[in-house]
Amino acid sequence: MLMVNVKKKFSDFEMNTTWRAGREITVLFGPSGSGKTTLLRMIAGLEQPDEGCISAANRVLFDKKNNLKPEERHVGFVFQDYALFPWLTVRKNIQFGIPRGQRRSSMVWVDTLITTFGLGPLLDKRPARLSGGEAQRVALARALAPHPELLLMDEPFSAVDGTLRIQLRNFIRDIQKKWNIPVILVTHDLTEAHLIGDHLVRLDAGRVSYEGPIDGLVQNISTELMAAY
Amino acid sequence: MKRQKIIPGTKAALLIIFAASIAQFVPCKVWAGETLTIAVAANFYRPMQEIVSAYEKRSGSRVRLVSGSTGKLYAQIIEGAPFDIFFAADRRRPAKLERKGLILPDSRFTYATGKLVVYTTRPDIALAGRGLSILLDPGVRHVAIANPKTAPYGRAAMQALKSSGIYQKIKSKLVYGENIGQTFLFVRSRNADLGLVAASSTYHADGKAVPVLAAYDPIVQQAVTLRDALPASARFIAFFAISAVHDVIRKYGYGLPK
Amino acid sequence: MSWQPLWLSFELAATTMFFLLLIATPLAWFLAFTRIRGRGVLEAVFALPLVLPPTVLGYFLLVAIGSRSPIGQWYQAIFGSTFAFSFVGLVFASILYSLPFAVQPMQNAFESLGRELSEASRTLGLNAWQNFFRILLPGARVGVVTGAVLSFAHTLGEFGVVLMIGGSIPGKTKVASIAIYEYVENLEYHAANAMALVLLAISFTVLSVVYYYNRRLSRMVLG
Repeated sequence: MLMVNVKKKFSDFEMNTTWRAGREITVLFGPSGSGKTTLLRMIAGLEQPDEGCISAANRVLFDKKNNLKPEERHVGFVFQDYALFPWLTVRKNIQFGIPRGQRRSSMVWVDTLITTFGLGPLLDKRPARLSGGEAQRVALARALAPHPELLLMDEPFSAVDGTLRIQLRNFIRDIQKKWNIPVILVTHDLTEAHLIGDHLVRLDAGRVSYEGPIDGLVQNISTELMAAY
Repeated sequence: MKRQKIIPGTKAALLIIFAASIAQFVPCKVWAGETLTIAVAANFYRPMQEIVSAYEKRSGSRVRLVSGSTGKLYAQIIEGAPFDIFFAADRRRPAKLERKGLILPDSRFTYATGKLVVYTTRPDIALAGRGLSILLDPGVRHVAIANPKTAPYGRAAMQALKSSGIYQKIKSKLVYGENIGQTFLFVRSRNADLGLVAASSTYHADGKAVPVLAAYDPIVQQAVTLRDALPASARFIAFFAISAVHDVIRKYGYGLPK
Repeated sequence: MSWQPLWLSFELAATTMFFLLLIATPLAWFLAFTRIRGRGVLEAVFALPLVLPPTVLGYFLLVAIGSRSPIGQWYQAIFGSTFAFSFVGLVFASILYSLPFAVQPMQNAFESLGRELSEASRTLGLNAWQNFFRILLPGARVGVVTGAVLSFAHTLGEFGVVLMIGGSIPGKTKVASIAIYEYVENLEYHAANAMALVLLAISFTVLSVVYYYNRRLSRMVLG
């Protein structure tokens, strides 16, 4: 279980959110500029809240006294444009997060990842030669390789469409089921949120305007729309 | 009302600017033909400035001074630098120019003879009565001289070291300045403990200096008028014969030609 | 023509490059990623040797480190010799003088590498130190190599600073540029030409090798 309760002042708005995410797929949903990505980065330790508390599976990642470094948080992060290391092959990218001493013992694990994501034919390619969908799968495999306790994905659907979207959705669902870790993904696409999410956190200008099961939001929105009429 | 006031004011300002620009240009044109360009070896630059300002006051004409090492100025003259008169730090380069036919016939003359001094700014080094033997002192780690290959004062310094018989013993202490001015700076900034420099450069400087008594060939500094020099050059050369000029030269520690 | 000054120039350039790799790389990294105020002022300070005439830099050094100044006395107490007229002094001066030539390409490379790859590597479990060696250095290697080689070439051609503080001691501070200058002053134009040509050939070779290698490197990175 991930608990997030953070405050941070920005020049144009103030973020003040409290929400949680369990061992399911949580969607952070909201218009652009509402602070979704910032929240994700705070969980990963790439940005610092002014105050508050972030804890995952009974480990405190951030509070008044503690501020774990990104490498101590055991969080998998899939960046919006993947951030693959361009000078390393696909195989080296995937192995990157596995400490050198454990490379041998984790060969089976890496092979599992490679098969799961269908990366076999790509292993010796460099990222510049990959398509968007391929790069994303590599990024996912790389993030999962060091056994994270939490998987964060920033706008995973923004660069893929059509059948690839469906494929990716299934992947994420499978991963969540197989490894049973909380998956938190950011999107500004309500349809996507609805199709993939179990739990939903809706953000508006740095505040949580809805948190609950995905179906609740649809009702919530229709009531809003009704009220507007 | 205001406008009327401004316009005459602006006109006046424009007039002043215009007049000023004429004043700038017209005399320049008159002077331009008479502005002498004199190349002077670095060691003689300061006395030359005094001499030139006296000359400018008396003659009403102007002189432009270019200073540098004798070797550099010489190379520039060979490449056609537009100098009128060249005051070198030796007689080798003027003689060479004469042989090449680059100077006015019979214009080569000795204007001063340079003298070497031992110079230091270290308060704990006593120079008096020690001669060059002070260089042997273990507290003296670096001795600056001008580069003997390129600077006449460096050559003289080297001769003095050799004639006094201490060269081999202090060879490893030597550091070389590119010209006599830089050699002086080494000592003044106390990077070198002492140096053999031109007497002229220690004029009005802090520190102590005593003449070098060991034998060295006199540093005969010669001047030449270049082939395409302006006629006014003759006036400047003639000016060099007056006693006030001699006083300046002596004041800076140079000898006068016999 | 004597080969000693050329060898000395080479030694000076190589030593300077070595220390600049150690100094300029972290400095460039700092300037590229720091968010402190006054970063512009810092950058200006480190770029100063670009615009300062070398003789002026040499003069400053000479006066600042002469035995008359506290720094000079302190230096002598530690190293037991004067800063001027020594090879070590020339190395110090050259590091200062070539610093911007090393820092700027490195800083540009770090800046264009951006933060995201580092962030990715941190979330994958690398600490800041490991990240520097496994992401920043390989990612910016074209800039690092360029900076190192430019500082080497720049030091090889260094003249004004050495002229001011070197003292032209054969085998110690009389580098190629000084030797060439003395040949010219001394009207030994043949020797001057010969040494200048060798220096030109070395500099040209070094630079072309680097540009060739850099091209291949960047192609490799792009796949």
